[in-house]
Amino acid sequence: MVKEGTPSLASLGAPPCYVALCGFDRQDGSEFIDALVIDENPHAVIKSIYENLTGELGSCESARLKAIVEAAHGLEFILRWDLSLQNLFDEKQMPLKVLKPLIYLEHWRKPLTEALLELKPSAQQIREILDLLCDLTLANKDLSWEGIAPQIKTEKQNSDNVSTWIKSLQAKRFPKTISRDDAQKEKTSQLSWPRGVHARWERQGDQAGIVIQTKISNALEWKRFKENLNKIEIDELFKLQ
Amino acid sequence: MMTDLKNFFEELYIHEKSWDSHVAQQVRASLNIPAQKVSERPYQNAEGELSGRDFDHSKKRLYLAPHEGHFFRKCPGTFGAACCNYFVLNLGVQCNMNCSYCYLQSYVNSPLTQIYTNIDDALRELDQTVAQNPKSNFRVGTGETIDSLSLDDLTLYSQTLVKWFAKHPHLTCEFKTKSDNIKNFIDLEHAGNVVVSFSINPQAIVESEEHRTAPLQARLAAARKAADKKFPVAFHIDPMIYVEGWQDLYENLVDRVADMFSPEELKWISVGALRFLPEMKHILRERFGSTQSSNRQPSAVLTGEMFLGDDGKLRYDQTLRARMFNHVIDRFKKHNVKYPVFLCMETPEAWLNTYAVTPRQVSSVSELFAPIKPLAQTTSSP
Repeated sequence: MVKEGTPSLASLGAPPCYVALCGFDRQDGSEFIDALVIDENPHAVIKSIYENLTGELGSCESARLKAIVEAAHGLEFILRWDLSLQNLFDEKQMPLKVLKPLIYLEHWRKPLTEALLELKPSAQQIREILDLLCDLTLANKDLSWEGIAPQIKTEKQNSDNVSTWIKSLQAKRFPKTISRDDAQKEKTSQLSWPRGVHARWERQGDQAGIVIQTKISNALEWKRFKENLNKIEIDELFKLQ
Repeated sequence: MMTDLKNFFEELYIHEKSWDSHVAQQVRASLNIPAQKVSERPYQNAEGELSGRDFDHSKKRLYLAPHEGHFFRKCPGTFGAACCNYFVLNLGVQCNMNCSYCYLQSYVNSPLTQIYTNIDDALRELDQTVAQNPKSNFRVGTGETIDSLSLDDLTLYSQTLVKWFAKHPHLTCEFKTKSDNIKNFIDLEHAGNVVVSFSINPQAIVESEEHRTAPLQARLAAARKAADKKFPVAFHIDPMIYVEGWQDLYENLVDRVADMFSPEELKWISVGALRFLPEMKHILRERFGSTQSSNRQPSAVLTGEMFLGDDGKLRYDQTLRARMFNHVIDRFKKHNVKYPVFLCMETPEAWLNTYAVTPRQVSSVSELFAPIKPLAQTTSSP
């Protein structure tokens, strides 16, 4: 990892005096040193490190290293974000490809960084959050951070706060579908389902419908189950509106 | 508006093997730019996943070369969708038009527009396939990876194909286009087996999403001309795009088609809704999203409420799709129940929601969906 603030070799021209790479945890006598200082032909050394470590480094680490050996075309977007956030992405093993929405979120760099570092969502959640935020800001460039910021409740687990945040973003991104699903959920729960039947409205991708769960132990139960289901009026629920 | 091809391309490369080809001569005479003779495909180091900017550049760089490998193959369709037995003949890759939803944005991996100069090899391959499958009456489309007609002034391939298919009246060819460019073949003698099909959308959507295509009215007028010359005509109302007031827009579109064409004049009308691979979102955002620094309106393709379908593509909610399809189909039925409307790249569930039957049970289109024997295909490259 390149020490934060280290100028890139590409920008220095040839050849710089030295470069410090952090994260090596070397022991020099009794002293621990977390930086490797390369003072002889650092460009070639780092290029060799970069080439040898391809596949071993996190995608942000790799981008940082690449940026000091050559012009990092197409990678600049990730290097503009805080190192601590880059490290979070690497910790979650996130490929750069799924981080590309960050290109469109720079106007929220500070609050978004703080929110992600505080909530520490999973890789899948980060991906979903970035995608939703990107869609929202591209659809409405006047959208303020306050309008979409997570409501972090300290008494709640981080995972609950993240789920709540994602749901609120989805409600803004897919307002018609989510409000229709909510109405269908409500209507489904109000139907007189037979005892022992759990029924709920559920969305799976581009399809939504009622999921019914029950346990049938014998032929009589099966017969009763069918009879009871027949009494339920669900036509209204499936009318195309 | 349709692009003026003469001034559209900025770079022209011609492979040495194609330099003397009919297409190369035609292109050199038509374009206002010098041609560079090359022995290898240019920009090979820029191949791979293209950025939005690279994709834009690819539209402006024309490369003429022979195609190596097969031209002719089964339409890949989409996983789980009802299949309409379609084969594709690819005579190039990329398009001079610029639709926001174009799937080529996730398909093209070379920063060039390619036109294959060896159509004779393609026809030889078709000859072999026909010889090996004398009883098959397959349909062949040329508009999968390139618009069938928008670059026809440069290639004149429409003439070659109309003449070839005239000799094979049991086969069907489809020219699929968003242009109105039918002038090169419209006066040729034909066997009534070249379907001239137009992808159409309401003019408001043409303006916001189908950049550099012919206006709706021009496409309908071209279709009318083709029908008058006894060419079978078809329409693809695809992709339907959800925008505010979509009901009125699509109703009006159906009315315009019904006012100009009787059901008997139309070979088919396919209807499909917007769909694209999630990976395409990034290039879509780059090319058609609004940004903090621009006043560009975001494309309705980006703002639509899309969800992942079983086939891995983003689609509108299934209920909304059914509403959209029903709206169009009901409107056609109001004019005449005989309009041959079918759903394109849709699941059996969507068919059941819309028609209450599967495609083979819809009499007006059952022929398109009848299973055909797998074709024996040529194994060697032409």
